[in-house]
Amino acid sequence: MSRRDDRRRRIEDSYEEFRSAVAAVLGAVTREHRELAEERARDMFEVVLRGEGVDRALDDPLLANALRNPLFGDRVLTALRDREQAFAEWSRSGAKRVADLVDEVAPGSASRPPEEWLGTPGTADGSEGVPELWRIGTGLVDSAPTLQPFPVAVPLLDQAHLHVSSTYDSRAQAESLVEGLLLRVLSHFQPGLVHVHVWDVNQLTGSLPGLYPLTRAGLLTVHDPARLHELLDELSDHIRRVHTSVLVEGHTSVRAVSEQTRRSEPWRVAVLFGNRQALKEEHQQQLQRVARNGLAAGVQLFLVDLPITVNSPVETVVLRPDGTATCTMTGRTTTVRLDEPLPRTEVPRACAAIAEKREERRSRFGTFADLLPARAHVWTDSSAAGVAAPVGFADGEPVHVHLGDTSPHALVGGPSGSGKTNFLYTMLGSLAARYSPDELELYLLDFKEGVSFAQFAPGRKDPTWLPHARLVGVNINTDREFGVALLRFLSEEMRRRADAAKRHEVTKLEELREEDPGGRWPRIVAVIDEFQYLFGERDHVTAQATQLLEDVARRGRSQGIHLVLSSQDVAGIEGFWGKSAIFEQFTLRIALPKARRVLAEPANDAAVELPRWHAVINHESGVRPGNLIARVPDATKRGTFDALQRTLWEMGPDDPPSLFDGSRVPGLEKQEDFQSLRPGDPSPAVLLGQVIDVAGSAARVRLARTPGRNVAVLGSEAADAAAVLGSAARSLSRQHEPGAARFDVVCLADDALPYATALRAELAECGHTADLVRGEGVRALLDAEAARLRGYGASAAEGPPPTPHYLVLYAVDAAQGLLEHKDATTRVSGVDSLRTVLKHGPENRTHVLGWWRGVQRLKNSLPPGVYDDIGAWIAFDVQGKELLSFGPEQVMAWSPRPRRGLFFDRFEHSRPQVVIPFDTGEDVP
Amino acid sequence: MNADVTETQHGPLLPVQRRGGHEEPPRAARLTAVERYKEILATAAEAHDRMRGHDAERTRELIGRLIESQERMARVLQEEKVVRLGVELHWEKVTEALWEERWMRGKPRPAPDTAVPRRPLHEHVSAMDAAYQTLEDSLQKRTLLRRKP
Repeated sequence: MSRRDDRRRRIEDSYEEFRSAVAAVLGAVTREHRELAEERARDMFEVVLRGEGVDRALDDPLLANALRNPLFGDRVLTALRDREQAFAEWSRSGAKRVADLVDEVAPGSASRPPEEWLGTPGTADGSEGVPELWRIGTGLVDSAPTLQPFPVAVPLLDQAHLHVSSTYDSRAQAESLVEGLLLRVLSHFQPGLVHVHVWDVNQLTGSLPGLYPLTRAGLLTVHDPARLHELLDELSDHIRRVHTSVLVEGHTSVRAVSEQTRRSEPWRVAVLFGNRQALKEEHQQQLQRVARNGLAAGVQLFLVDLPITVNSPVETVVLRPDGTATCTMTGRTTTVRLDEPLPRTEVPRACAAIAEKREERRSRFGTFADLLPARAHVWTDSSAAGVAAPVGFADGEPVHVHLGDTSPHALVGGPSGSGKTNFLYTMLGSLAARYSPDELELYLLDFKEGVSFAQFAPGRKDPTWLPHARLVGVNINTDREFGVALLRFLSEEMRRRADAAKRHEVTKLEELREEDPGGRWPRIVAVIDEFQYLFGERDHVTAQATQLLEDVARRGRSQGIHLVLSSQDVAGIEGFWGKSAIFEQFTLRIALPKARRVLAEPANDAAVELPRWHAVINHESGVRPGNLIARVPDATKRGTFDALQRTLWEMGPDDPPSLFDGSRVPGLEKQEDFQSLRPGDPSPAVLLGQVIDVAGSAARVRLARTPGRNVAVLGSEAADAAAVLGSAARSLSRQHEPGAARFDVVCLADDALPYATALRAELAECGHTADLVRGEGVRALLDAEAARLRGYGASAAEGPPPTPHYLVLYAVDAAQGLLEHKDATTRVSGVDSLRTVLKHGPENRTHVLGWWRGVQRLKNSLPPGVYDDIGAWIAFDVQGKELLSFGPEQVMAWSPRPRRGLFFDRFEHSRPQVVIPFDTGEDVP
Repeated sequence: MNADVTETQHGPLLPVQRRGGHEEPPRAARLTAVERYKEILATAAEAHDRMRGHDAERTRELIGRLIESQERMARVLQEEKVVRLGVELHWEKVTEALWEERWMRGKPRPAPDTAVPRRPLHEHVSAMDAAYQTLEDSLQKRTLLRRKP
């Protein structure tokens, strides 16, 4: 190679080399520059991306190109991954959990699509729970990586109010929202359990037009825009009524009362459409009060564009002009798309169906059987806090009466024929079906003639009894003492309970039951029908009854003793009205048609116009707002109460009630006191008749060996006297071994002969010495006995005790003439002998049981002015004042009563007692 | 008995039993449906907040980096300027020198070769200087180009 070529080659090579080096150096700086610029660009992009948030950035048109730029791909991916990580929990299960929750707590129309329920009236009655949430639309968490829609639902009814805020453009949507929710609620429950009120500040009609068919069933009330106070007053009254009648015994809300059972008080939903301006001050305040207290009473508000501050639970839905919404249930991160409005034509149709169903139910009268609980719920209620039971229907819904601490006693009024008896049967049946005999005891007295309460005790035709009845008194009429006896019994029971309460350091029955769960502390309800008879006379009985009634009325409430007094004529009871202490306690008033003075007249005249078969039930002492008008079913026809009683009787213990039947004559043989008489007592007792008391015990006199132990019967009727003498003699017969006593039966009147003969025969049959003495023989008998007794005088203390000698003298006054004769030799008359026997007999075991046919006649037999040899007497048809010599001043009030005698034992009594003579079982015409 | 009990910093003077109140009832274990609903939705809100929070933190981080990379960029730009100037000088001289070599066909400036191995810049600059020197040496027949020692 030539040198020139060599050189040229070297130049070319080194030039190339140089060119490469230049390229390299330029490349290096360019590259460094570019790389740094790219890094910065990425960082700047990511700042923008993160600043907006990848969720928003993805939709931002300004960033569209940048997002597509592969240079930024990594950064976008990282941001997306970060988002996924942040939302991991939500994406995994959030939407599903919400959907599951809504399915769980919002069954049926509460969350299902309308096509599944719109048009079909609901059947729920609250006993299976109340949906806690109600669907309004679908929610999306906009910033989440995957768009997972979930149901949005709000609480209503007992739980929270609803506040909807809209704009001019979205107002129509607000109405659709409200309409949709209302239809969901209305279609869930039995028609009648939800009442809707609508008020629109701008218009009377036109809001929620689809709901209008509900007005005819009384389920929707549209209020005049100018009369907001009417709506607020109605709601306030309702809340107050619920608080005083339903929310008693410590319950704080209707929901708590109705837990597990049928909803007792319908819900009231009040929809108020405003115009974003505050209401007038007083309306605002009232509305706030309603909002504050309403939920517990089942009153719920839908407030649309009405600013209000409440401290009750409230959820808000804010509608935006673009058609979306936010809701306090879902928070700021969720956009809510409300459900489509319900199909225009179907809403009125659905409401019409609901209205029809409601009408059907309202006009259903409701039978006695409808009042009773299902078989499984018989005798399951507890009376610890009180007793309550439905007694009728109002608009198809049951109306209850309550007896407890806050409504302790009831007054039932209504003229005869107004359905009072039927009402009492209904009430007692309803109570008896719900509470067992260990929870509720009934004491039933019926003063008038007739057989009202006889149903509750075993009888000839119907051997069943009401297990709760412990005492039934019928045909009491003039035996007012029995009413007093019952009140006295209740008063003593009250004391017993108060003592037990004190021992357990509590004050009320409810507390006592808690402290002593093993004890038996039923609530006692005492029903006295035609109780005004108890106060009929101005006498001692009335005074006693009034005092006892006041005692029981005032103090019975805390001991679980409740009175139900019913009357045809409450106005006529002076003693009652004068005593406001009694009257005030009777807070439960039940007025049958045309009843007077039971409700607080003149303002409350609801009873005047009341149709048949209806009653006004008022737990607020008769003031008008407390009125509930119920239709009372027929509980007296066959197959109603009697069927219930049979069922309960079969379930109850074998322990019939004590029956006091004023028309029946008590039998001596069956008397417990008689049956328990045995020989062996040195002072035998004679049973003279039955005392009018709760236990039905016998009136007795002890024939001790002391002066005065003779018994006189005063009256003109042989039957009455024979009953007493016969009972006395038979009592004595049982208390002596055969042959251990001597009886002389003296009969001086023909009309008494059959009785005397029968008695003597019976005594002889029992093994006793018994002679029948007639006519003249009485003189000899008395003389002999007198002589014997005079002979004893000296040696009374020595020797064996004399044989008991009983003289049963029938119409002894008939022999007065005979006895007045003085004996020629002794100068002693028969009367003297009689007086000797009476005076000295008892201490020597000779006792006289004598019948005188008049008070004066008895006086003739006794020493003038000295009557104390007759220690005990029973007077029949004599006037009270005639007896003043023989007893305390209370005898003055006595006047003859059929089959009743006045009994007084000087040695035992401070005042006389009315007794009923026994039927001694003799078959005499 | 002094009914007007004032609370000291250690609590009321009367023990609980005598205060007439009741103990705080145990917290209901069961939440209502509303509470459960809101609890679940709270997870979404929390996720959202978490995301935004992370974004904010990352943004702060990025801004820090940008501040730092801004300074680096200034340096890089300066360096580039110097290098390009040096390249320009060399290139002019070479072009001039090769002008005499009529047989030589000059080539245009080379494009930057950004694929070159990564080396500190000064190595590339030295390589260029060396290549320039070599070229100069190769043109050394004439004394036109006389390098000063």
